[in-house]
Amino acid sequence: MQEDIKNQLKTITKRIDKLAQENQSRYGFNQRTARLRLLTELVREQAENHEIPAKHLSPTT
Amino acid sequence: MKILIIQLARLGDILMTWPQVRAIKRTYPEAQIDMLVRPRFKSATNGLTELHEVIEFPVENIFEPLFEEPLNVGDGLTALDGIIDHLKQKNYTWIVNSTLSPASSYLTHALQNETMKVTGYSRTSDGFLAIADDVSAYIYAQVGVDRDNRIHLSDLFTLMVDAQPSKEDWKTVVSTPNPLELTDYAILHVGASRDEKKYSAFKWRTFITHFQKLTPLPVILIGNEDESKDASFISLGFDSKVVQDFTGKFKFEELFPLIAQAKLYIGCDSAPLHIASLVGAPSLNISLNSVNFWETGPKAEHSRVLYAETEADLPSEKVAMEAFSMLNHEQPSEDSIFFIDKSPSYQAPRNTRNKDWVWDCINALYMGGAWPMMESNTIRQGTKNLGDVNRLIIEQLDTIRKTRNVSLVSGIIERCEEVIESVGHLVPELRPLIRWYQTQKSLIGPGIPTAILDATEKVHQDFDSIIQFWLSADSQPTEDLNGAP
Repeated sequence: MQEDIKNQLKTITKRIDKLAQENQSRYGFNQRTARLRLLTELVREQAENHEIPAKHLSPTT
Repeated sequence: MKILIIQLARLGDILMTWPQVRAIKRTYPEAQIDMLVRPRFKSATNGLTELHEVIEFPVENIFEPLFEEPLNVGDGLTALDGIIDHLKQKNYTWIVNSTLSPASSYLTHALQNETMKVTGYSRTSDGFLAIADDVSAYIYAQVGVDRDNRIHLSDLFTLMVDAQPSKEDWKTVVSTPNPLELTDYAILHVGASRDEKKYSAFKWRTFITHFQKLTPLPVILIGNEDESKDASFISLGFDSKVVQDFTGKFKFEELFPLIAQAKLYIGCDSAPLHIASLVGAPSLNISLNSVNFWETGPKAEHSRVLYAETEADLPSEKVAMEAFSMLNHEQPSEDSIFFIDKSPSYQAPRNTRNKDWVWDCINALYMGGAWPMMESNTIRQGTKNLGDVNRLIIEQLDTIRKTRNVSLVSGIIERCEEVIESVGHLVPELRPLIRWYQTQKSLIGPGIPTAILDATEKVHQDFDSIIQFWLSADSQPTEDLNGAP
């Protein structure tokens, strides 16, 4: 996996995770928190499984 | 009955879910079964005729906005809501989450309603992990590369849906023609699902050198385009009668007839190994310590596993000899592991990969097997310490019940939990027991304080019963140790 994309995914994970935490501390585990948590985990798993979203595949990958 | 199976993992995991789908169909012939997969791995459902619909989880639509600057979470969430709404409109009566991941637990939570049956990981109303069924709780506590489970993952998937594993669920009719004109050949997958699971190209090349001296059977190399470089190195200089490189040449579905007709399949942990299991091709699985072969090894009859901590511990000559022995239907070598139609799925020399003693503990804890004698004073002392700490927690719970004041004792309980965790670090043999306890604790859902207190107390009383039974049985070595408390 291209390292820059992997790092980008990690950064995105952190940013969404922060949004989820903020939302949860304000409103509890409501639907938006749940969706943000889902999104966070999806991106985290994508990064950990060394998979790049299709459009970010380079011609050589 | 409308069932959705969530399987958002990769090719191999989807293939290992095939028996689960068939087990459901066997139990509920009228059921309509859909499967949710990631588009990239959809091909692994081709041929699974028991499925009514394969639904793609739109990973690309969800992720693309997240790469925008500034971060566009809104459109990602809109895409996510789109698929959730689409799935809700299907009015499923049962969701089976066969993806063992946090993301899938949140997805299951988003889809479920009060009337629906849910199996696998989900979330409670306050966001904590929720596990509705015992098999998934077992998976959560004991399954993984670094753990001691010995039940095959595909069997666990089947048990999850309240069915018994059956070899009938593996039988796959191959209807597509073989893309090769050859009839006699062995298949070698040069790669693996992850780099750390691979047997190196150098090792495979020396394997071919030894194998060709033993048999004229040609070896067909398969793999994806990324693995072509390794395949070129492996086949370099060999006659095409010895080895032929077809990496990157076949579609995924073409691998089914190709592997089905092979005299032998050879490879590490990967999707083609599971295809071999589905089409009944005898397989020689090379398993290094980054894989738990008990969970993901071959399931075809006459299959074997050669296990080694590292590839340096597994000479390619030995692999060639074992492959040749399989072709000649000879007895497995002394240290080879071979498939048996039982659970666990393999007959292995003692203490292969993980300790028999630890597996005996798991077997006693979950399946009513005999508790093993404690094999050292460290284990005995560790168990006693667990018992003491657990009783201290029970005393604190009693204080909460009497005073209605949690804050008074919460600090003590937290320290006790740390001690329990520490015992697991100091006495690794006790980790399955500790993980059982911790999983049971984590399954206590939200509710009124007295209900939570009751549920918590029950876990600790159960933990105490197990510990005391084991300690008392251990102190009477001549007594019958059979049976769980």
